Amino acid sequence: MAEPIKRRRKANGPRRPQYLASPDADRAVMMLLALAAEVSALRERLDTHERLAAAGQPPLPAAIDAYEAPEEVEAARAAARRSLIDRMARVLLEPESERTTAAANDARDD
Amino acid sequence: MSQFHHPLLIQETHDERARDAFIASLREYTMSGLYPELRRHYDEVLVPRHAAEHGEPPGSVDKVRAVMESSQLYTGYSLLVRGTQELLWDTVGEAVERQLPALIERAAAARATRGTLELDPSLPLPNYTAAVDIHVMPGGFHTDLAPDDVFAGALYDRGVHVFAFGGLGPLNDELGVATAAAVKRQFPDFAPQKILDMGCGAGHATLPLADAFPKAEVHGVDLGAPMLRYAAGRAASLGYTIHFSQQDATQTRFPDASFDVIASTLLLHEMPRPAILAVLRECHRLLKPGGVMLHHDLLRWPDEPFEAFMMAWTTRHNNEPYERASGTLNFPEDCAAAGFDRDAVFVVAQPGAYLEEVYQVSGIRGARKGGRLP
Repeated sequence: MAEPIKRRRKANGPRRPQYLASPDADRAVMMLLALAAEVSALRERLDTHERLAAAGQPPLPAAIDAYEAPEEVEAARAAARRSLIDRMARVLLEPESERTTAAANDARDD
Repeated sequence: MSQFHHPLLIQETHDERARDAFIASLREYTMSGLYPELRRHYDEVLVPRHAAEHGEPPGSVDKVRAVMESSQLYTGYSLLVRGTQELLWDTVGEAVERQLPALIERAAAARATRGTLELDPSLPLPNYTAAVDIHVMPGGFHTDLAPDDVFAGALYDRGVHVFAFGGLGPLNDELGVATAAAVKRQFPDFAPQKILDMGCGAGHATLPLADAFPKAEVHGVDLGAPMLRYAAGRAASLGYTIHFSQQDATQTRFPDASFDVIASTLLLHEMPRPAILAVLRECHRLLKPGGVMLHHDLLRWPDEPFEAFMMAWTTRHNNEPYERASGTLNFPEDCAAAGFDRDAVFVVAQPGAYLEEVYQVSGIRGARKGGRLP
């Protein structure tokens, strides 16, 4: 069998810009995006399982790959994806001035 | 809007489609959700704060940058958009890689049915393309991974659909349809015989030109061989007869006065200014008397500093180093320098086919000496 063809996984060009206080924090967020995509895919796979089972079909891999979500199912999935992203982004996007809960609690303890 | 399953489009498993869908949702969240929020935050919070400290709103792009980079909303937005972009190519790339040998075979078989493809392995790759993979797409449009490779085309065709969360239409031809429609809108009775699409990529803007002018002979040129092999296979499998060739738009092998229409769609903003000027000169050489040149691109930089700053985002964050410079183009003057008559320049405001957009397509007609049409 021929050697598999390997894709490139890094683009030529300037260094990735830095966004948060350290490049490692940026990398951690980017890893979380990949992980969140997988969590979302797992959730949709489970949903497909349940829908196939409800229709009396065994949820075997070929049936899962062949499943085409009807419009209303896709709309519900899109809403779930949006909610997941919203919950992740809340912390990422909160301004410095609003990160007060811990400090305020510390002050109360004094 | 789901993508049309033409024979060359990659086939994805349930989970690959679900990952794509998540990435499309991330794109939609940042572009439709966060982007307007950034503007509101800038107007309502950052401008008043700057005015209170400095006695005036931020009046230049550099001042806007300083203000924005102090905002977690902006840095978080930028990280999300950049992170999504890298994830997009790697995720779709995994699905393309898995089926690449079969795709290469399908593309070759489709190409054999109609149209032509002429590659030039000796064509030098300009430094501005070799040094930077635009859109942070690994390998760019030009890297061959294997003999007869189509990876870049397959990656871009699926990737740009996810990127635009379907907004470019089932055939990713939103912008190309607008380019072609702009010719018809401006010159309703024009019947071109030969058409050239410069920087044709996967052919997303080439096929709409063939649709708009079904009797014309349509050519597409691009620097990238894997993109062209895919484009030729895709066009043939969709029933189009197109002539693709690997050529540099700044210096093609076509004879003088070859084409009635020369178009480009989102090409110029990826080129440095000297190359843009060379494209204009080459168009002047290639156009027949009375021919039409048009470029669908961002040829005017916004005056307003916030908009200009955000327009330049891709320059730094999406490996599009020349985007900002393309906004300094003075289209009529630069056309005149290339030999065109500046008074013949026109701009068409062309509504989108699928999106609520109005595209600015800049062009010129009747440019060669003695070739002015009534």
